[in-house]
Amino acid sequence: MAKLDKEEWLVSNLYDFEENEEGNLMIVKNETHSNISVIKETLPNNSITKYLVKRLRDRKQL
Amino acid sequence: MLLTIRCIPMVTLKPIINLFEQQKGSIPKDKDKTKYIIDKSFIEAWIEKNDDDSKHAKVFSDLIAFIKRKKLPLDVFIPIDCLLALKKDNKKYVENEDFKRIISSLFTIIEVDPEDSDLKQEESIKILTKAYVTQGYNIVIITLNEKLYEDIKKVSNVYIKKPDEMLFIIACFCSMFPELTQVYETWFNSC
Repeated sequence: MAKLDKEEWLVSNLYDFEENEEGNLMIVKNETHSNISVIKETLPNNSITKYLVKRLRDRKQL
Repeated sequence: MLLTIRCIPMVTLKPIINLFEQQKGSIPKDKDKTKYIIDKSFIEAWIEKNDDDSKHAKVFSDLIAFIKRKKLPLDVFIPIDCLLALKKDNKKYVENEDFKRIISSLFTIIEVDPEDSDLKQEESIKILTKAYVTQGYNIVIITLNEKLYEDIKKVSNVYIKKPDEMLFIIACFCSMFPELTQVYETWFNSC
């Protein structure tokens, strides 16, 4: 069980970080099995933390 | 030392950086031979809390995103045992897929001992620290629970720092990225 717990952290589809035309920070979510970028989201106030905390609050996991 | 970047024009960052560099026991200057390790308390501060130390954990994590965008080298490790410890504490956010992807994207998750699934998070950090120090690296452990690491603090080239003591690094990068100064100000916005 503990070994399975460890494996859940072996995430392969990581986010890339880019900037948009205004120079604001974006995260880029890539398709798991291709290099095609599917979603780009601009980070609020250039903050990955604010983005994450909002997602967690929206899902009532924080 | 309580120093903030807020309301300080970019041109005055250099004296702040110089001041930190002169401090005894400050963060090592050889950036290429320095690696950082965060622990469970750092994650709790980053995600859950809102005091000054926690705000510095937040801005340090935001800094890592800027560094990733610019492809600059700055290795920040977190042993997998720290994440398992959070799970044992029943932190709901540890199950969140965005959390998993973001933490994996910002930091390097490392399995210290594949044979041991019950390793205490602080023990895994000490093992990792000793391994890198043996290879000639400086190690900075960023934690809000310094007492856990008092024994390893005596080892040369090991630095135990609270998040607010990372202001030196943040100030260095603020001088490179004006946007990062704005991010800092959104966390410490009482000018």
